[in-house]
Amino acid sequence: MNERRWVRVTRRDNVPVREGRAVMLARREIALFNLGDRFLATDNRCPHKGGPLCDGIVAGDSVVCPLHGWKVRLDSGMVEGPASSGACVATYPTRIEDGIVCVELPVSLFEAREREVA
Amino acid sequence: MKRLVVVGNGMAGMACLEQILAFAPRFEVTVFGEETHPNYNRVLLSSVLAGEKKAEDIVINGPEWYRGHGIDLRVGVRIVDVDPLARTITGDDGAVTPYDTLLLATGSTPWFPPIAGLGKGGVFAFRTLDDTRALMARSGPETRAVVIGGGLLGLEAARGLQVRGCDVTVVHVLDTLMERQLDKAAGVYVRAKMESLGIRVLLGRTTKAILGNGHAAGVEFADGSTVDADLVVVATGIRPSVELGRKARLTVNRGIVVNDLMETSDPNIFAVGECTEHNGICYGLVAPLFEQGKVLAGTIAGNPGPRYAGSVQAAKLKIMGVDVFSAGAWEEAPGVEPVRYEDPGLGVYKKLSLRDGKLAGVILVGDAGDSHRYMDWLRSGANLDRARRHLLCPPPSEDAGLDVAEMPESAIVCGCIGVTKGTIIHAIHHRGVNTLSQLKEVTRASTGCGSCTRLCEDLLRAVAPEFEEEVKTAICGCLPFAEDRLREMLRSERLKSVQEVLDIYGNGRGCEICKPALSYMLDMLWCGDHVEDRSARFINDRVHANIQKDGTFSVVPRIRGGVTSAAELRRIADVAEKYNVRMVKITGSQRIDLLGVKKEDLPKVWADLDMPSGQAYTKGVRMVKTCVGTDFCRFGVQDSTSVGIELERRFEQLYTPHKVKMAAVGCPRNCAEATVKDIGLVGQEGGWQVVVGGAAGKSVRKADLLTTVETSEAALEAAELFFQYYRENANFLERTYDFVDRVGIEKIRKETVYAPESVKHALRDRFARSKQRAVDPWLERREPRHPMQFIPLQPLEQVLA
Repeated sequence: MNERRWVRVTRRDNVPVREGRAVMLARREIALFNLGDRFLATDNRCPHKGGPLCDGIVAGDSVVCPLHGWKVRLDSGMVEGPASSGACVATYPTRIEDGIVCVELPVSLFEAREREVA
Repeated sequence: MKRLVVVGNGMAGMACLEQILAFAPRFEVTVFGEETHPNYNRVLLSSVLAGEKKAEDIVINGPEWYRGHGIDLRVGVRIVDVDPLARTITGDDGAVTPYDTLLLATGSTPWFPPIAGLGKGGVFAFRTLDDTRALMARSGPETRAVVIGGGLLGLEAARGLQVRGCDVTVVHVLDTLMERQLDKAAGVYVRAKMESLGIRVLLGRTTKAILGNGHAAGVEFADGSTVDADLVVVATGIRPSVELGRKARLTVNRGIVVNDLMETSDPNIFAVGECTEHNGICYGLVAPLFEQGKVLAGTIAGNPGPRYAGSVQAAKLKIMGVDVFSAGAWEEAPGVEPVRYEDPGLGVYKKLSLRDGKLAGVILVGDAGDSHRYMDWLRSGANLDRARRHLLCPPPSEDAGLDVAEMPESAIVCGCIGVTKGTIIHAIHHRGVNTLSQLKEVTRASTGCGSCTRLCEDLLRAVAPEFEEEVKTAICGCLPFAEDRLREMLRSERLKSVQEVLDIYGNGRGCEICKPALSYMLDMLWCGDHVEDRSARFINDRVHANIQKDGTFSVVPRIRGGVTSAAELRRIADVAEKYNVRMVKITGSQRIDLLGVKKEDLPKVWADLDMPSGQAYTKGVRMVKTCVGTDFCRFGVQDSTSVGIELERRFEQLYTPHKVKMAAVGCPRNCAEATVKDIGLVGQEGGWQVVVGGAAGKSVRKADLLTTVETSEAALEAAELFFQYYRENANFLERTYDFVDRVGIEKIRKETVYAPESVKHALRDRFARSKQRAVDPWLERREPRHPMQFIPLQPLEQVLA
């Protein structure tokens, strides 16, 4: 069940440095961030009110949700501010292959989708 | 009255003199200073070089202080001789001055290694304000600078020069930086920090000669290699200035020898500061000078107090973002237990040296936040057995206030001046201290290197009954500067991109507070000729629409003065249907809002509307609300509709510190509510009132009258002067109602409508330049900033394999 699969997502220059972009992968909206030296991927929903994290301002290794300013760490998914929330978002491993950003997703995500389609 | 003559107008001499005057103001005092400046804080020269402070900011005692105490100050005079029998001194101007008590505070002079060609042009020391000014005049973008000396001063000079735009190389004779303060491991960390700032570091190089024909063109090393340079700074150490001590036939070793009461071998001559030697040690840092000064003041004033028992040497590197702190005896030796922590990834290195369960020395690189804790341990000699598990990572405290509360009364808060927590609390309770500047005035705390400012504020906040926060200090933690200061720095350093500012002055990362603020400042300062970095803007300013709670956007086209046409309304209606706009709403600003538009549809919506952006999403010019003025209204006395449309046309597309809402009304009935707008034009018989700083939102404030004028053009011009003045002087996110309140309408009038013509011209000129570069942001539908500015990513790979 914990099997994972790499998905080729987009050319790296499609995401400007220190910005994020959303992409639908297996019916899940994922935010992809270009931190210059690496890419990080999280779910594109702020745990507060579902704001689009990809549209936030990147602050170091964190992003600040554009709706109410919750601050989410992009590497761990932990909410940094407000510190008391204890909330977090899912994160996904990434790598660059020949200039293409790849994201690793749990296979279970596809299977759920395939069952629905079937 | 006895004549007290002080030779040396520096920090040590004047700090001691201040104490003497406090104890016994019964001397006739004469002070000789070789430099032509008032007494200034030498420790902060590197901040002046780096542009963080101005020369006048570091003055400790201005001329009025000398006058107020009846001190005869003679600057620009070098004392060349002392006759201890006749008790006179002689200046280089030949004047002879008698003394009863002589205080030598001659400090030290730069020491230069034997390098050929030190006399060439472009070679500087870095010791005085004049040196600093000369360096500032000669350095700038593209200057190649070599700093010889990798000690505290050399590194600070290097950073200062680099911030001024120079290409900087630091050359050090040893193979490790700051060897007097740091062990080799720490030196490696500091080297990495300097290099990450873009400063080249060459170690193990002995400089042989300055190259160049009359003027420095490079330096040559003993191994024959060379480095090109237009500017060479020699910061290779200092030597106590003891010449007068010798002339007075005092006992002199390396420095003028003093005992525990700071007496020299002559009962009428005393010495303090860097020129002295106590117990075989010559101190070269600021804190010991103050400690000596206190003891000596008691001795001279005739009521000897505590004896001077030597100082704990502590040094802090004053480079923004490079925390380096060192104190005490950190060297490894038999019987000394080192305790280390390091994290190369973070660039943090900490080492404590313990001897007999007590702290003997400490080195901190990358995080010096706990330095005061270690200084306390060093000074008090506390036994650390019980704190052993928390030596380097203290148990987390609930908040900063607790930290202050836990400090003992005897703990030193300000290490430079030696002010304890008890002294500060006493000043607060008994001297009516409520603000940081009062605290500085009364106790002098935080007037040295300034690193204890936070702690002082915490104490004031906790203890002072009426603590007043002074002008909001920094924008945020990323960038430790107040905005007005920052504006000056960006202007003088010619910085044009947000990331550049963060890399040079900040933590390199930035956040949602400072990035948009810097974006605004750069756009305003360079009149639009800056490097626009959309990643530093809020999403609204990346896609020129207002984000809604569900992630869709709202679209508000510009309808100047609230005047539209049937054709425009038809297009708006068509767009609303074509893109399934969920709500079409008339706004409070006489405009139409289309709500619930998807990001990818924005360019198409704008194209179909074929109207400019109303910029309802940004900190910029929103709208001008108007009444129907003279065309239809039977009361109207001024053509508010046309004037309002013209006002909007002139100001639109410009960014402002916060949103700017305006109105123009044709008579004092004020139907479009001009008196509660950021800028309002109120028509009256024979002219206009221009009012500013009104609000009717979160705050409600009636606008202040800026001026009354006769013609519409004059009204527009007055509005323009205020508008540009607000753009240039308000803090980011400061609405005009706060700005006008803070600055005061009188001052604003004086600096805008009643300013000299040259000032008004300059304001208008900068406004015009900004306006010339401003464009309708919705035109980015044709030429997006980035190919994927509006288009959602499509995965390359079908996820259904």
